[in-house]
Amino acid sequence: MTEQTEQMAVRVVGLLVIVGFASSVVLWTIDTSLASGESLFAVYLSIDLISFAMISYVYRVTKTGDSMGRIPLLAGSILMLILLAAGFAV
Amino acid sequence: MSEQEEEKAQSSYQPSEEAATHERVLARVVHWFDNRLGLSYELLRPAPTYSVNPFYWLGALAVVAFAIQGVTGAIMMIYYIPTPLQAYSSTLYIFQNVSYGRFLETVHLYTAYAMIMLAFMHMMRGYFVSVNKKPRELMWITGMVMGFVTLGFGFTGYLLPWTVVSKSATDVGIGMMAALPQPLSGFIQFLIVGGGTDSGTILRFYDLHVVVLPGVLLLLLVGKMYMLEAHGVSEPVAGPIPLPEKKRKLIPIFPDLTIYLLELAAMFGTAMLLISLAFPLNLAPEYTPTLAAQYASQPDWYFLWIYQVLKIEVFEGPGLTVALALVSAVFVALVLLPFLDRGTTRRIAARMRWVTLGLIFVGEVAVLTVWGYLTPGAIIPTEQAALVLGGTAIIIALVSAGAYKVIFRKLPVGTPSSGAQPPASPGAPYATKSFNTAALWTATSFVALLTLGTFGIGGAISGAVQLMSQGTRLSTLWSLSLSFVELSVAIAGTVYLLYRLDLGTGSIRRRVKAFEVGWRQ
Repeated sequence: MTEQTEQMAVRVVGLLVIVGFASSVVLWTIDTSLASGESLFAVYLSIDLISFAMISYVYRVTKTGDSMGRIPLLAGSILMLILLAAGFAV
Repeated sequence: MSEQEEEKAQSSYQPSEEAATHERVLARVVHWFDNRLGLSYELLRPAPTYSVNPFYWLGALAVVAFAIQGVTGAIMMIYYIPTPLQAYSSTLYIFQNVSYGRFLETVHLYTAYAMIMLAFMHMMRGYFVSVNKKPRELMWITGMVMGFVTLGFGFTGYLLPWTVVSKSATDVGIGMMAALPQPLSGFIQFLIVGGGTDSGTILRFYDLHVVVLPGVLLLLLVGKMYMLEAHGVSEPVAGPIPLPEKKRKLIPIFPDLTIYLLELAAMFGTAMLLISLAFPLNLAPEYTPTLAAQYASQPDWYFLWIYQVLKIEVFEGPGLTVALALVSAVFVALVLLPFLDRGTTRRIAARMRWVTLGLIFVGEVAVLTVWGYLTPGAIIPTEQAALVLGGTAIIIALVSAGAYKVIFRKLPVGTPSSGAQPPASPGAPYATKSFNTAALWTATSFVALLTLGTFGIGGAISGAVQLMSQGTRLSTLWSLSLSFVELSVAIAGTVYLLYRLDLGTGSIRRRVKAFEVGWRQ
């Protein structure tokens, strides 16, 4: 694994940890009595799970020395952005 | 050696001096858990790298679905009351008054669907790559029993909301079980119906759903995991290209494979959440006998294929026992598959008969399910059923035979008329531009011929039925003769195409010069 890849992995994981933490905080602030609460809960829990899956992916490929695929990271990031936008829309 | 040093020596996850900060922090966390749980201490057999593939873990995902159902079900148990008078109202209460109640019910339902679908995919993957061969016969049988338990979850859980749809469908299911031969029928009736009252039935269904079936499934799961530990992950099916050494490298269950499985579980959980969000569950009206009379009874989708078979006209009345025997025979054959498919090879190329049978099974289940969904409550005429089911089987068998001929044919000894040159040495890749074009033409011709043949078969059967039921009519005779022409062209075309394909193998005993136009030896 090159130093550049390692630095990239650290940045990606750092960013994902922040996103995961922020969505967890939002999860605990949702008003459960509102009808929109259900949708927000599903959206932010999904963001949490996606960021967890991406962190696991980065850790796994970094450890095994495989090349880090851009497509899984890109797909996960786009999905998180869509969900974030949906969260705001709700 | 101090205790701390001993711990470090035992664990395989030591941060190296050169490791980056994040790697050292992660390794320390892994090391901490590993020392306490002992997961990497030769307790669990390491897995080969080729198993880092979602298709190897469809069963594990079904277990994840089961776990999600356990959590959501446990929350619902707090509010649900299993009596005919309160089952619906308590379900409605969860829907309307419990925080995220509707979402909870929706996730519970969709993960149940996913569990059934994943179990089916897991079984069919195992069937096609023949994992049931020695020494995994008992693993296969255990897996099949787990599949039946999963269907049992669906059957027992469907009744619990006590809606008009669920109660009517369950009544039909219970009624059908009465047609089974004794003492099986009596035993099942005793197990699920009890005294025959509604309150007895719902209580037994609830008990089976939340206590008996989860317990049985967990026991079977432990047994299957034990056997997996003994035999390891099955080897991939041997292909023409040997697996590279890198793919054979063993990886520890913890943390490498565990992290991969958690990754899959997180993606599966996300999919379930988003599907539940997009398609929230709507509760059907409460069951009353009056309302039930207005509804066409229909089981949930995973039983539709069986229900559709039972709806065929010939199986009405006394024929029901025959239909149930047929469906049971399919299940028994699946359970006993390791003893029926006795061949030693696992190669798909060498198992055309079994692969084709499997494809026909999947095709028939899919056709019957969609058909059942489209025709709720309707009795299916026997001729129509024969046409659809027979046609499906014939089409799949022909496509499979054609695909085997194209994909797994022997290396050619002559020069095909398309101009494709044979590989320089035996075993070398045979993919040139002209070869690819020839393969594409062959595949297209096969599909066209199969389509023509399908229309021919369908038209011929339909014409024959019309002749028998409506007498001789000019239009019927015309369509019948047209169908025969279609069928003849399809058969002649297929024979010609197969002959041309076999020219390359040199295996034809009787040569027909007229079929060899453009062929250069």
